[in-house]
Amino acid sequence: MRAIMRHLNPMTAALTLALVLPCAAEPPPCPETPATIERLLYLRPFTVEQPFQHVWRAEQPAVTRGVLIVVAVKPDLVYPRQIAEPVLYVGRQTARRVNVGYASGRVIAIVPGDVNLETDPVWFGTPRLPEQVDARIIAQELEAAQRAGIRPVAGEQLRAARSVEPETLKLADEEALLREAARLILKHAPDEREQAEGLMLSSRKPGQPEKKEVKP
Amino acid sequence: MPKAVRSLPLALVSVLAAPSLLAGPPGDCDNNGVVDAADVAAWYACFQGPLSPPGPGCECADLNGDGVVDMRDLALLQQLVLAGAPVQEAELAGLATTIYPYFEHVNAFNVGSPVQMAIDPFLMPGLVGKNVHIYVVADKSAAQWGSDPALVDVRGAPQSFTFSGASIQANTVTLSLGTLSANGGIALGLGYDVVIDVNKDGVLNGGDVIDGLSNGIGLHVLPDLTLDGPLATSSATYSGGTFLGQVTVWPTNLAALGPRPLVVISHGNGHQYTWYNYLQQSLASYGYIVMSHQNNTVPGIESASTTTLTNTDYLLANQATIAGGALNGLIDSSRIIWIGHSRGGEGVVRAYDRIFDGAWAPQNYTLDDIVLISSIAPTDFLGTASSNPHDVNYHMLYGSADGDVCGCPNNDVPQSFHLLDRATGTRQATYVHGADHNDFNCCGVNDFTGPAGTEIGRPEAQRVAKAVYLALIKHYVEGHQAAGEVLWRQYERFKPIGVAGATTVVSQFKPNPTTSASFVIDDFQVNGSPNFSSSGGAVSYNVLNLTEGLLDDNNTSFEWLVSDPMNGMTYARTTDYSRGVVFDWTLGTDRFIEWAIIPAGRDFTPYRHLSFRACQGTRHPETVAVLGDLVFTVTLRDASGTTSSMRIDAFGGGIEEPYQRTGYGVGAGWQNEFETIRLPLQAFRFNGSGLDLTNVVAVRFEFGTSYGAGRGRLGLDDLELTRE
Repeated sequence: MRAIMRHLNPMTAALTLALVLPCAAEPPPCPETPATIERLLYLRPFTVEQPFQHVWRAEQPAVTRGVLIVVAVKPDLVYPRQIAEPVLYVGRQTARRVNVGYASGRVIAIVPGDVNLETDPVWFGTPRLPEQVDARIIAQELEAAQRAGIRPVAGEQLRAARSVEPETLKLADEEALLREAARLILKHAPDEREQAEGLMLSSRKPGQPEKKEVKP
Repeated sequence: MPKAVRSLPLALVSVLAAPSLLAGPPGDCDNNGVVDAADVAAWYACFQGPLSPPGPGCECADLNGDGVVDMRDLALLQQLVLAGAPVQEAELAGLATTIYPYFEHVNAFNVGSPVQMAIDPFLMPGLVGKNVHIYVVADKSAAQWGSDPALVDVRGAPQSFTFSGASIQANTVTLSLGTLSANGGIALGLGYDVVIDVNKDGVLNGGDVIDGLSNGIGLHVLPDLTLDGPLATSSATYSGGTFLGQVTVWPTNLAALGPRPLVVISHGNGHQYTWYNYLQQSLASYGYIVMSHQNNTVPGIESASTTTLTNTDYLLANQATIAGGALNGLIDSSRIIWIGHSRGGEGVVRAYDRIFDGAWAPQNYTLDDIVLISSIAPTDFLGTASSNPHDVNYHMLYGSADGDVCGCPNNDVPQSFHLLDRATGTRQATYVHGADHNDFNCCGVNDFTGPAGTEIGRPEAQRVAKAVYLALIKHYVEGHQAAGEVLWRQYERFKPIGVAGATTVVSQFKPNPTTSASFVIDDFQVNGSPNFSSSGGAVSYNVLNLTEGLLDDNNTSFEWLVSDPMNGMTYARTTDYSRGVVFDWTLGTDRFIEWAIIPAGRDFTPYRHLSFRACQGTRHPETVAVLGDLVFTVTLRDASGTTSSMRIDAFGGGIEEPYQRTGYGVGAGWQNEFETIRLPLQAFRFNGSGLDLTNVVAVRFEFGTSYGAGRGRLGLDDLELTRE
């Protein structure tokens, strides 16, 4: 099923999987790691005027710039689990996944700081909680990935990913960045509309909520 | 204090014990030496309005000695008047059982179900031979009874009955075949008092017996807890920024209700905050404000807990503007309930732990405002020190077919029960056979992992969830006594209407040992020798293969191996402290284990139940051989050698067999399922057993064909006397 779906466009894949999921049972086993991504689809630098914390690693650095990426992945790597999931790394940084990506096989992620995709590999490391990952663990995971033969994405693929929307996003803050990520979710993982709407929810302030009433 | 055979209301006891009032008869305002109805009229002559001190000659009217004559004094006087006439309180309402003790006194009944009452002629010999009228009356408080002792039967007329001296069976009376109303609106059912009008004068007075005087209700009829309540609801979706997205549901007439408790729901990993509408709608329709929020679960538990903490604060801080101010001033921030699912289930515990440890200071609420936490299939990433419910009222809801937080033996993280066993306050669990991880939200993937034909499905799992959450919150937040019985009575005998008869639910309940002043006979935490209980008494036994230890399966398999006596135990990791005992028996010889009671603990009369939790040992040959509810007998022995025995299935089933899920080694059977059994102590005296509860010297569990199942493997823990 997964192999078939990788050859479908995201919308078709999502619809196909959505039809299958209600009958699904017993979660797939977590794949072996380190595991490479299948393809880099999108890469766009960003800056934010108001720094925010990157809580996806133990040091929680402040973020003022980085890249937004979209990657194609083996769905089982991102099957939503409550137990530890494989951590997505880019070079010496943990990436913040902003969607699940299981149905579509597409993950949208924020990678803080200065990353160079020409030299930094993108891969999934040992399942654990990202907030517990520190520089020492990252170094170990990077070494394991390199030993496993995981390399940076090829130059042509990188150029294509960059060329989709090449200009740097200049944003006010984290909320604006997440709205951009939500736009990418709607494009690449349309089955996760609810997640995208949740990220865009920050524009719906308390005084102007969506309201409903239910009679008994 | 046990409700049975108590002749004076608690308030009266305290008044009579007050030294300042012992100089003269309190309330004797006509100064004739007795307190009776005439004193009520005299009291009114002394009443000068709120906050007025007693005038000359009216000192008698200030019954509680607080310097003013007010309605509190009148209520006490009314109780005194009632007490002057020896009205007796006793447990009456309940249901017959097919085996000894032949009757279970309870408060909660499902609407449409029979309601009975019974008296034991050996404990109430004064009633033997008496022809009486039995009333079912709309619930009244003690003060209301004082001012209006008239008996008005809600059924139209009382029943006439003559008590016999033969047995409790002969004195069991059906009060209703299911016609009593449960229509109490958001009060969740209706309460009634049961009165035996001995002199048949239609008034509660001398010689009468009542169930429901000082403790509020005699019996309570509950509606279908799986259905939404009577209130229309409103909802709003909004955000205060990153991970501050919330959807809140509240009763539309909130302004008329006044401030209401707040329920906060923290979802799990890969879940959405919009996935719990079924629960929000259910609770809001019963008058609660229910907020579900975006939860930052993917980085980990610390991040998730932060979002629980900040979202709770955000709602409280911004109530003036949220939804146009519809909630403003109407959130009772002193009564907050946190419910979390999976990583969010651990997150809510971690959030409490952080406040408890002083590592986080909320701006708009305090630790004491969190009155209840419930985790749905929580993870245990952070372990003993960091994911600890401490002393909060704690509940866990968990499905046996969870394919994610599975309880698997090879990993501590998906062993939810760790968190339950760390809780030191009142704790309870609801373990639902055939439910998977995402059955408790609307839209997560189906991860059912279990034998074919055992999947109960999302609608059924959510019916269980709605019933248990309504009961939990009503009980812990509003003191609803009958709702509490939903949490601990055996499901085989008392399950919410609307939950299918075939659905298996295993419940645990342990009251806060400190605030409830339980007497622990043996919880296996100290005195590690199998020959001594934790309370210091001797333990003797001839059951087989007895082992005490940490409730932690010591390998990565559920397959039975002699080297892993705690096989199937998922209640502790190596840094935890929850200990228990396991043993077995087999065909051919009856077996026992007996706890000698230390002298200081031999008076059982202050307590209401003998309570313990027990489980079958998964995949053990003796368990496999039986593969059904496991039954045995509990015997109490007093100092004169008199005994009284009760089978544990008297009030439902026995100890449930483990869910027959496979994996992790040879065989079928998943994690061990502790189930709490509570045996009412007074029932050991029924039918003239002669047992002296003031001097019980031994508690004995007996096994074998003479006492129940001929063979079995049992885990046991928390043998104690409880007051609830």
